[in-house]
Amino acid sequence: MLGVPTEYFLVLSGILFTIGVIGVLIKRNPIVIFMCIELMLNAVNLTFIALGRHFVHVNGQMYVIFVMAVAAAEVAIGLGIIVALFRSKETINIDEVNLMKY
Amino acid sequence: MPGSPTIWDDLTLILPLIVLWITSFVLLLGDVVVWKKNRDLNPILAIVGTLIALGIAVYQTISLTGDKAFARSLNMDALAQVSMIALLVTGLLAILLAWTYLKNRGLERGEYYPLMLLSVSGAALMGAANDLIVLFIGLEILSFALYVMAGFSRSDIRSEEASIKYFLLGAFASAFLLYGIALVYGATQTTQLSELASRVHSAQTPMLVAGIGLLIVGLGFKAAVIPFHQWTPDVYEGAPTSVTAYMAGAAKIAAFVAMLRVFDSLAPVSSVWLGAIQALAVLTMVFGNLLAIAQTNVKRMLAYSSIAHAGYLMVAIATLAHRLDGPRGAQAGELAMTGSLFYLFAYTFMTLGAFGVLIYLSNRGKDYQQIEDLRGLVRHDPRTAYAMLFFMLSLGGIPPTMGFMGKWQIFYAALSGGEIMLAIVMALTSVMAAFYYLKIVYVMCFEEPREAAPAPAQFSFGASLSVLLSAAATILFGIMPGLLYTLTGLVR
Amino acid sequence: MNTLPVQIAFYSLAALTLISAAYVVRARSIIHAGFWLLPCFVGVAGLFATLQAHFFFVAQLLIYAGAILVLILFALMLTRDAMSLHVPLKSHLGIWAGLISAGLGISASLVLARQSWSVTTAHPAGPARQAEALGEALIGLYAVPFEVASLLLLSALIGAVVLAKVERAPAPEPPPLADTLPEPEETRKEPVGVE
Repeated sequence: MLGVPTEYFLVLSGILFTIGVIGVLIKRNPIVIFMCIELMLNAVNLTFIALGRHFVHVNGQMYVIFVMAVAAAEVAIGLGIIVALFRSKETINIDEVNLMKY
Repeated sequence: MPGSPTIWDDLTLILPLIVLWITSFVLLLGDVVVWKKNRDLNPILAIVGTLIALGIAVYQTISLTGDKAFARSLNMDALAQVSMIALLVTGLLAILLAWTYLKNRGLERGEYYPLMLLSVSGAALMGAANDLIVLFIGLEILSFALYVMAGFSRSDIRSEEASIKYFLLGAFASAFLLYGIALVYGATQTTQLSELASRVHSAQTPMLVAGIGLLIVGLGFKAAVIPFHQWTPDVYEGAPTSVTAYMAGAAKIAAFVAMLRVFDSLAPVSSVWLGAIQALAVLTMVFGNLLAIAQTNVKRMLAYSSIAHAGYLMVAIATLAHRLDGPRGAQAGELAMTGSLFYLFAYTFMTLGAFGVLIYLSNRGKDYQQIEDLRGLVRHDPRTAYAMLFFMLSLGGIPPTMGFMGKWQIFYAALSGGEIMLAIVMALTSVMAAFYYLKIVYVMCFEEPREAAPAPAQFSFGASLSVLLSAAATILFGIMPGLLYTLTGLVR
Repeated sequence: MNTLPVQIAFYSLAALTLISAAYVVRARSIIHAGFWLLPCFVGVAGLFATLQAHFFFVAQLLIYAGAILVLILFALMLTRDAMSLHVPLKSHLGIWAGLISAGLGISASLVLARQSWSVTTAHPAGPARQAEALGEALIGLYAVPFEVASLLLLSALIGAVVLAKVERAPAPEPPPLADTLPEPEETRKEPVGVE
């Protein structure tokens, strides 16, 4: 009935997660970095749902509820911080935030 | 769950947390609705709430009422309770510091204390988690509050940059942690730590290895372990000093207690992760101390010092891997557990003390951040200088201070667990560390102040009391560590 | 039921998700990156549907494609000159990114594919039963995380208030330290342009 093996979903979410990681590492704009983090969280959700279906267990789906709650809260905080920073920097290009100073 | 304890038993076990939550709600509403202008009432009520929670936690710990609670989501064992006490003490000292600091900076806003109490409860949940998802949510409660608190000084661009940097890297790390949880779940079909311990051995698949690797990355970020430490110095420097002090203590305790729990359950597959933890421990100890030497800003130096201390605690976690290697290993594992709890207490007292001195001095109408600013401090403010001296000696691990006792316990555990190499690196880097702590002592005591003595610091109740308590604890538990052993010894 | 439609759906949704995710990372303008998120989120929602997770199909559409994406676009609009921004690659991090991504990607594919998955024979429950099981678990086994998540939302709420509250004009007596702070941009302390 299911047609597609679980590992296909797992590999797919692995690739999606990797794309998110690459984005976080190469981008310098906070909002885009944040978008890439959302990609990573989506990959995690996909993994959980696929595993939950595989084990026929409510656990996997349960985590997704919590991840979504956390992601929603994170977006409120994160974008709040970004917008607040932009407000105090005014005309300064948000890209110039001295972000990855190692 | 039929036959299990009633809901009231479960609620009683988390009573300290409930007190914290009620206090934060009262503060939140009270500040807006009831006492609109009285800014001193906020810290006082926060202190009262924390003290009540602390009292209950100590009582419950001593009377050994710990048990698993809420359908095994929480494990309120001695580790959870002792770490909760450590967190509540950290919170108490940090509230006292914030009382002075926020007033000096005109940052008194009602939301600070509720956020802080919520984050303490999140950190305590991390320490009590028996389910990885509870650990994750606790971590997020702790982190969300810290992200906002780091940017609390809205007029200071460095504070806002600290906030955004902490947020982005923290969220990045959380995603790694979550993916790690997902893969561990995929390999073992469970995320309950107590279940995990019995299942991991038969589930040694590549997926489990990848999951554990991602867990190490995620937790390593939070614990500021090299090479996942990049956020630490900037965030410590940029955040308001009272927030830095709190963050240094609470985040470290929470991260390491969570690590102790996770790696304790993963001990059956220690061959998978031991190498990685050893490598991280060595890197963190060596580079944390090396980089600290070069700093000229005290807050930055303390940031690198906190990284170095994370390295020493990683040694304890590596020792935990030998828990199942016969009686000797089991004993070493126990020592590592109790030793790291003791060390976390010591760390929080001395770090909050050192930041407390900076906050106390900032009362003089000048921001004390540079090592240069402390030049000749002993001439015009001997009491504060001596307090700082004790904290530096303790951070450097020089006897008879608490820092030495903590370091000694971990060192001894590592030796008896067979982690000889780590023990040697630990000893060598501790010598290295003494250099930069003693540099501050030297600057304070043996150099002439460059300018005329500034006006003496106004008396401020909060910071004075906090520094006094930290200094007293550092010395008392250094000379009589047995007093604290009665508490940390309960873990195991 | 024929497996072919499910397979076709899987491959097309996977392609949609990955390609749009790649464009989120590749896009030169922030606005484009934001818009590429939409097909990506929708693709993931579709994948949830092929996994018979009906509830999460809807939740994904509502929360990610609805709430989160809209908030992100709001943030883009509020940071005004976002439209003109280009998102440059940072070279020395790019090398790291390449290494890490290669490592992660290869190991993820190998590791996940090598796991010996026993074939599932059990059929997932119908939508109504699934939602029922979720609800039961939320107030049973997962009561603590569920309740604690509300504290998470509360702290996020307080945080958002702290961030959004506009600071008042300086108090009558300025804080004693305000002038000694190493602050290069003295004049631009108060956020202008905010009501």
